[in-house]
Amino acid sequence: MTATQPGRIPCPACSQPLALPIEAVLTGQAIACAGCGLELTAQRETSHEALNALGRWYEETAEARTTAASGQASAAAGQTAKASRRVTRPRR
Amino acid sequence: MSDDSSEKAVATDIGGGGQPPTDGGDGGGTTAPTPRELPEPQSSVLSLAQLIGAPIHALVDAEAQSAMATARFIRSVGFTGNGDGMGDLGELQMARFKRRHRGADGSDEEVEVQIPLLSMLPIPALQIKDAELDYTVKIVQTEALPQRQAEVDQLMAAKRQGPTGEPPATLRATFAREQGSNGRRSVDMLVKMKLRIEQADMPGGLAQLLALASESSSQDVLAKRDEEGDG
Repeated sequence: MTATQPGRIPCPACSQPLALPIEAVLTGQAIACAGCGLELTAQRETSHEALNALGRWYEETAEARTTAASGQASAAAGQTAKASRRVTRPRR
Repeated sequence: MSDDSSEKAVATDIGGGGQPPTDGGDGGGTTAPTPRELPEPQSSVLSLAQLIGAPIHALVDAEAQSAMATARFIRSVGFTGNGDGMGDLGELQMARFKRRHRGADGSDEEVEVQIPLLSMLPIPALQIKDAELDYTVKIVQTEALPQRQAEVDQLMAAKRQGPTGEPPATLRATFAREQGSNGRRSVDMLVKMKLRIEQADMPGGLAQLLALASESSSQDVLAKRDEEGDG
């Protein structure tokens, strides 16, 4: 079992890559495997220290994530605008 | 004497043609040194090697600091030990999850899955992809350092090298002022530095650490409930 891609682990049941969204882990939502339907739920009571560390990381990187997301959004908007200009250019 | 006036004095000395300084310095009450009267090296005047080497040294330092920050991140988030110091790492920080599993005998099991926190997070590891340094320097002094001179003398005594046998000179330089956009001299003395930073490829050691972390994922049966018993 390898997990060299961060945020993804092999599903404990079917070994398909399973994404672990940090928000879902922190809020205790069930994370479902698309391959086999297995549901994982973080155990707050026994993972107190790990979830605290994860929460600190999540808070400290919030601004960076927002900046990265807005940068990606503006880049995507630029691509869309370019594409629409190409489409609407009148033919001679 | 300000940096400005020191540069002017040196430039006058090197120019040696009796031309007045043109860098627009304060000029007030500063007596230009006569030719052959070289000024003492000042903070803004460095050897050319130092001048070129300092920003490169800063780049290497920056990469080292980045690597240390990555190591601190791994220690503080990935392990249970005190992440501040360089002491004991402690154990791998594990997040525990619960899942339901239908056993071979039809019973419903509650299984605890332990996953290392390190495998859940992107590990920040930045590196300088490329750096472009643009220096504008003015050579203000040439000299043969005594130590260098001694070394050269020794070499020359054994075997005279070069057509003239002249010792190599050490160049002293200062950052030259940039020409302003309107033709006037700007007051800025800058090294232009353009860096491209990227997420570093995962180092071999880190990949191994993650593989080990991944191998330490484990599953334990917490409780077993017989379906018939529940019903």
